[in-house]
Amino acid sequence: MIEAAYQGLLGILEPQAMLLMVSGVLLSSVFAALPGVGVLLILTVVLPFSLSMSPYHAIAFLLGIGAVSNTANTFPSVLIAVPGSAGSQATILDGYPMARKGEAKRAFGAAFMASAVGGVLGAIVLLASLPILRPLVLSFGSPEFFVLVVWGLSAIGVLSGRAPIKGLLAAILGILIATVGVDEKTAIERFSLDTAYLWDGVNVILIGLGLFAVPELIDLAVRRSSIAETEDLGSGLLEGIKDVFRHWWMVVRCSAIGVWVGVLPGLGSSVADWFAYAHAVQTEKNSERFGTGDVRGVIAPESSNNAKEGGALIPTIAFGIPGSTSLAIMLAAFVSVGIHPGSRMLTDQLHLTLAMVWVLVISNLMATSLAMGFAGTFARLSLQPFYVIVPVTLVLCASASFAASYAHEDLYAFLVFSAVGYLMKLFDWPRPPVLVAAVLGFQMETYLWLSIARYDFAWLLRPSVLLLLALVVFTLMLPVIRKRREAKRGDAPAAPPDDPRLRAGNILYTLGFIALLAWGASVAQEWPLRSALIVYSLAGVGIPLALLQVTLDLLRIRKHLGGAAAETTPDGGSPDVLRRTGEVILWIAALVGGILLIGFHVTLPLFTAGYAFAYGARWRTALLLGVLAEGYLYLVFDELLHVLWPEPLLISSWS
Amino acid sequence: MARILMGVILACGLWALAAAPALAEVSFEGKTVKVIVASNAGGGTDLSGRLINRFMQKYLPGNPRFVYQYMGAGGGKIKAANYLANRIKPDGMTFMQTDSSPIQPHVLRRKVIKYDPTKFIAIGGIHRGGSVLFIRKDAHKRLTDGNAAKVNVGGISGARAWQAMNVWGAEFLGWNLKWIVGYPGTGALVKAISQGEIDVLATQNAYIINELKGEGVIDLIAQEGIRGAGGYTPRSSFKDVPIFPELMAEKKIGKLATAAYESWMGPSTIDKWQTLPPKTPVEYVKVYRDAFQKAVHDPEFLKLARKQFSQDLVSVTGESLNKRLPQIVDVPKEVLDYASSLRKKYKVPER
Repeated sequence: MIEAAYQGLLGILEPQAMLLMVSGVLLSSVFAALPGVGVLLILTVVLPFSLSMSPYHAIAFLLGIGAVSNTANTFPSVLIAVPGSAGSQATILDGYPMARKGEAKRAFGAAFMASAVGGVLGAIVLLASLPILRPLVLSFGSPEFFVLVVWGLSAIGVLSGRAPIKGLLAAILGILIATVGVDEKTAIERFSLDTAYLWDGVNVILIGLGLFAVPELIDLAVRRSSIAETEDLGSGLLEGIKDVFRHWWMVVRCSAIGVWVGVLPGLGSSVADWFAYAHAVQTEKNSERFGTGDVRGVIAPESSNNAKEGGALIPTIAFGIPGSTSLAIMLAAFVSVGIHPGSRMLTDQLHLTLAMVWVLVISNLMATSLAMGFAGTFARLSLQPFYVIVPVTLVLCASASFAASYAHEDLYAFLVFSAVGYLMKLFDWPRPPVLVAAVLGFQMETYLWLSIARYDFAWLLRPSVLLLLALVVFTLMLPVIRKRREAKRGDAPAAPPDDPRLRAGNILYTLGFIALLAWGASVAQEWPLRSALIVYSLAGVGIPLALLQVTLDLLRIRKHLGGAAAETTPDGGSPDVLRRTGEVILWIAALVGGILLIGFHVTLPLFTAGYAFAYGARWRTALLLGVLAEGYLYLVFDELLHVLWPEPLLISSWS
Repeated sequence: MARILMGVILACGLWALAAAPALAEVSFEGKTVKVIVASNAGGGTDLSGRLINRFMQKYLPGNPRFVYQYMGAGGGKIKAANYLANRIKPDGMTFMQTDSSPIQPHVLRRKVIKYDPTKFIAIGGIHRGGSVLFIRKDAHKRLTDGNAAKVNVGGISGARAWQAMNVWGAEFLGWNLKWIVGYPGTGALVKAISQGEIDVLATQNAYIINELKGEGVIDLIAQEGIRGAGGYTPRSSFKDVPIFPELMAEKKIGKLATAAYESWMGPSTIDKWQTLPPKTPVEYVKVYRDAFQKAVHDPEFLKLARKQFSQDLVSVTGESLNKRLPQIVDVPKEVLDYASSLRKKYKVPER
């Protein structure tokens, strides 16, 4: 083993291999920071060149790209609440509030150090699990996957904050979204609205952008300030690094979660960060601070999403089963250059397996140093005025949405989720449960179905299932017990002031939700029971819960009308806020409308320059922003991605 | 009058002579060819297409640059075919690389289809040799024992071409099967058969088959076979595995059942292929087809492709694909109904 490790290290430290690894890390870091681009595409582009490399070179280059794909994607998540990729969505929950508090640097320091530690821990776990690779992976069947997914969904309880009913309703909405598309069990198209666009369901990036980025942007545009509400960014980078070591035990646990999510083929790459975030909220003290800019909310997801890459290598090496799409591409290259995943990776090709472990470690350290080097520069963006940040972020949102499947429909979906996200924020509905449930809902239905189809209900008595169920119950109970203790000590957080006007709007929103569920159930009547059952279940639980929420809201309004006047005049109702909100919504509508009518290349620069100029930028600044928007479109979408732009409605010509 | 007629004929002859070199003068020098990829980045269709195109670029006159657009998400394969048929100018500068999904007869019955696959002009295709069906060793005895517990067939969906072997096996060979479909991917399926959650699976991927066989987990029970003019031949690396249509022939299953089996399996004979939009000028069709044939016979391509995809890789010409497409697509109703009735009987979903 030691000899193989030494041989592997020598292979990787060879100058050309190192150069390739550095190139891979650089490429990965740049493209991971661009929302909607991601490293998957980079891997596809470089694949043909790697087919004729030596095994060490291919490992250094390709794994160097793949291993650090979740490091630099923190920049947009923290700064502008735009997920750099599906693996960095949970970071937004506390990362963006930290940026607002002027702690962007600290968030970056914590995120990058957590990413590095997670990546290295992932490599160590990979190394440690080499002898038990096969039994480890084979011990998880569909029933165990189902319970794991339920465990992930139990996070909804803690992500719902002070509104458990709304949290459950939000999760029901997420699962309903997850049912969209062709159901493989029966070949029925569920809620596809007779369009092929929805056959494969809704892209999770679109949900993330709509639910988080746009509502925060509207808020910023209404506030008319910079992202950071303070002018002092401090020297938080070092503080963030220290935070990681202060919470070292949580880092270890969240890294382990990341490794496990990676190990299990089929769970999907976008769930690791949510699992880790939920675990942190469930197990850490003062959990009410999560979501308000708590550094632990950044550390938890970031330590898991890089650790996942090490975990995903396990099934790739053990069975030739790629644990992620990136690894599927790498696997194709590895096989071509003479690496043979399977039992040989533990015998005559052990040195190559250990070379992979070395690359995981070295590339993570490289990417962290690189990201740390740029952290200060990026953090200063949080001090830029809103008229710079809002249009630039909307350009990124629109282009990242379009990158979901390069169709106009992506923009419609983006608008729909933006509206849903805005209303949820306005009416104080927890948004994370929608995303968690949309990601996990598909897996939940899939593995429940597979478990029943294969084992009927006998799977419920499997010892491993019972053990995992006990874990679910324990993690569900933990925050309840903790809250009771806090209540006894009088530490419970105070409820915010009530606003009857928002309550009335909330009732309308909830009634809309009931209508949606009722419509879903009526549509589902035409489907076979196997496909319809999930929708009936959602309606059966969701409609009574929603009615209960309406009743509670009505009672509160009645109490309010019968009692004293409002405690405060909420911001949500002041004429200025309403006017500004209306303005920014019109700008967003103009952006999407412009793209549809006259195309991306005309609309985006005009929009960026127009918005900046209208709200106070000098004409030179506005012009520069417009040029930058066009430059971004051209370089990334034309030159790199070679996108075939959809034909604008007002310009009829051949593509 | 005769003089005028001669003049006209002479003029026509001269025009034809002048036009002939024009056909040969197609050049892509300094041009960019757009490739619509009907899959996500990194999928098998993408990877195989990129490898072919790397060599096509070498053989196309003027060595154009290739750029890729993915239409994998959101029913992307259908979307890509719709896009190619209706939105692409047939100027020889755009083609699509895809798999057999857009030509599945049951898919073509859906409302969203806005193309006629027989109008596409195929450049060429590659075939990995067909699926090999295998069963866990510990379940093999139960396969034909109707009194034993059912043998579980796994799958991503029930409509994959290789599932026809199982359905026909159940109907005519007395296979004792139960379908469990809905697995999220090949990785999950390989894990499921390794741990015994499912018992039967098929794949074209020789690497997976050999790994499972080498570990003593599975027995190989049948293969799809490579269809040629003289009937079916086995994959060179699986010569001893029975060819399924030959097993059926022994049972004398009748014309309708044979036609229905072939209609289900038909699209899989077109594995990964490339096609130009309808009405692409003939001179472009010719240069693409020539370049494709040179590419897939390039020794370097064969070395890489056999390593990466299959030892049994074979190529198909564009002309041959265009002859085959109508046979695959225009399936008589009674044949489709027969296949549907078997699907219903064994509860195998259609997509």
